Amino acid sequence: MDFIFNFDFTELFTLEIFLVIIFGTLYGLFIGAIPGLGSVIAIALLLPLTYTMSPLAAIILLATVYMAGEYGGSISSIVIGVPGTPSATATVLDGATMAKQGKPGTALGYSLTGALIGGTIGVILLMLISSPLSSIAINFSDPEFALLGILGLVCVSGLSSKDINKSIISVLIGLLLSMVGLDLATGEQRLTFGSFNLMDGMPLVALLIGMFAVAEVFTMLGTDSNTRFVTDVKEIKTKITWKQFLGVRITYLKSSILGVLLGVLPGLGSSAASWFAYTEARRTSKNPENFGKGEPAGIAAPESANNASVAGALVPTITLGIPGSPAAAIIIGAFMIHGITPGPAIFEEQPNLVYGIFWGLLFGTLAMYFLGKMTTSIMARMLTLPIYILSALILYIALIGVYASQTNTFHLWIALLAGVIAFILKKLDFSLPSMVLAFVLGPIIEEGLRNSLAMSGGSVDIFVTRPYSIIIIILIFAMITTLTMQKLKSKRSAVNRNDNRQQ
Amino acid sequence: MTYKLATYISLFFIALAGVAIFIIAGQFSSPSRHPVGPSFFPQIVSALMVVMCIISAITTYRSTNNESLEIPNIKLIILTIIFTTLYIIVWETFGFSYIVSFIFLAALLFIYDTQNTMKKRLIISIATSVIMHILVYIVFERLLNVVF
Repeated sequence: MDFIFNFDFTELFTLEIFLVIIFGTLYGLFIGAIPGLGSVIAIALLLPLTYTMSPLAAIILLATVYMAGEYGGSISSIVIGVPGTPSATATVLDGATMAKQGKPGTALGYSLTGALIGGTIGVILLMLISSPLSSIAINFSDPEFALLGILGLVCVSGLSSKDINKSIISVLIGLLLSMVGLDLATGEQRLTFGSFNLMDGMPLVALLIGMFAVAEVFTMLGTDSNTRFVTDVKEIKTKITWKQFLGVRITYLKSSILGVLLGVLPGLGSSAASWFAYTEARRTSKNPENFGKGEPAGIAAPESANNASVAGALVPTITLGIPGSPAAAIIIGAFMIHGITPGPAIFEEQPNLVYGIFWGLLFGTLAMYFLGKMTTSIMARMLTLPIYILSALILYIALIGVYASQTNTFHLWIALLAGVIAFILKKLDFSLPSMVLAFVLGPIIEEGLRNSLAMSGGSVDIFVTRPYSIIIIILIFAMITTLTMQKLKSKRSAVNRNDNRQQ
Repeated sequence: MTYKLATYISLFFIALAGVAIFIIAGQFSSPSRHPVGPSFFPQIVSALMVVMCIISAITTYRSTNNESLEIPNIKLIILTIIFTTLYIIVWETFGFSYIVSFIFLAALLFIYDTQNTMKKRLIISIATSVIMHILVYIVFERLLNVVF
């Protein structure tokens, strides 16, 4: 219980922290509400601003944006039937239907309450399990970190794209990008092509903003530029009654716990968590036939799971330095900007920072609830901005943000090039989240592998003679087997459906 | 262009990059005291990438997906890339300028708006650009002390 008794709470009650929580929440709600953007882009755009902040304020800002963005996504899911974030897709099924039945405020009320409960349970579990997990992780060495990185890549490549081959290629591209720069062990210049600007490696902020924000602008330009997501916004009161809450209280609890557990697995993220929770709620419901027709549990389950998964994703991020999701990978960037290495030692080296993040995220979750209640109708009104204004502003802010991060115009070229290539790859169903995670995990995996082989004199036995390594290898094989069987099952179902249609 | 053809082209270029990186990595020096040098990982990953590109090309060939790949408003996207390139060149050559940035943003807003009258487009693009630059000045230069 060090996070209660050994934490200096005065670090949290400062104007800087208060302002970042409020700003992060409002910003996260706004960006999350705009279809196609989401928490990853929201955090990537804000990353350059964190250079001038204290480490605690920087991480709380990004984590708050992450949490608020997950609820923000449900605003457009419910109001216009278009998911604001990928993890709000499941919410469309029952949320948009309930809104069309004349109850958008009730649908948003179920969503916001779920976000509060999921976020709170997630943060509490984060507080309780991080420290014990780091005590186990302190026994981890290079072999375990290399294998954990590989486990993360297996998870993300199996789950993030409809084309598994392209997912794997995306992972490999991300790994190659991570090798650009000076080799830390030997000082050899790798893939820098003589450029001084690449000696420190590919600039993370420029790459992320290019891949997500700039590429997204090109995608938005592909639509009718004068389209407005919403043309008519009536007054929306975000509210549910006590009786309505009691009707879904078990769903909120189960989905929140499921969300945290799934969020902990590296690479999965809140999309997978929300779908798992939705399908589980439907499977265990007394009235599964009501799902898709405005069923309250159909909103409660995904929304509590996706907010709980935010805290879940931060568990491996903080305790192991392994990002639990693409958004968490960017948050690791913020740690790196401030010269802090997340991992098992962080609880001993920077306990106040870690506990401050936990408590800051809890306050951010509460801020999300109250500010969400007040501003949901305003956010819905933001959806009346035409796409052409949104896309120009996002591109401009992206370029300014990239430059502000390191005041280097070379990074602007990286962002533009990354944006163009990412736009094309996205069109062809390559997986950008896989690429980002591989980029972040690449140095961990390579350093782990090389140090392990150096320790063992080149023998790979080191990976199969350590107990924790063996457990992780078993998990890797289990994940590969599960993913392979799922793919075969869906192929067989597709073939059966074709046969039935022909008959 | 069909989705399949676009996939083949992208896989070809990715595989080519993989081969190039494999060859370049082979030229990294390998210190004798390390069992695994700086070329090990890049070569493994680039070789795997080439193999995966071949596998992906085969599965693409066997797939029955013949849909065409459309990029709507491609002219607008190309124009954006050209404008952004010019903007970065001017920025790199002469340093950051609020006037140049104002023109860049206003130009984007003007060309993206395809339905309003010329007068309305001008007013919206200028007004929005002015507001954005005031915000950028306040947030970045005054609050965050970023020197452009």
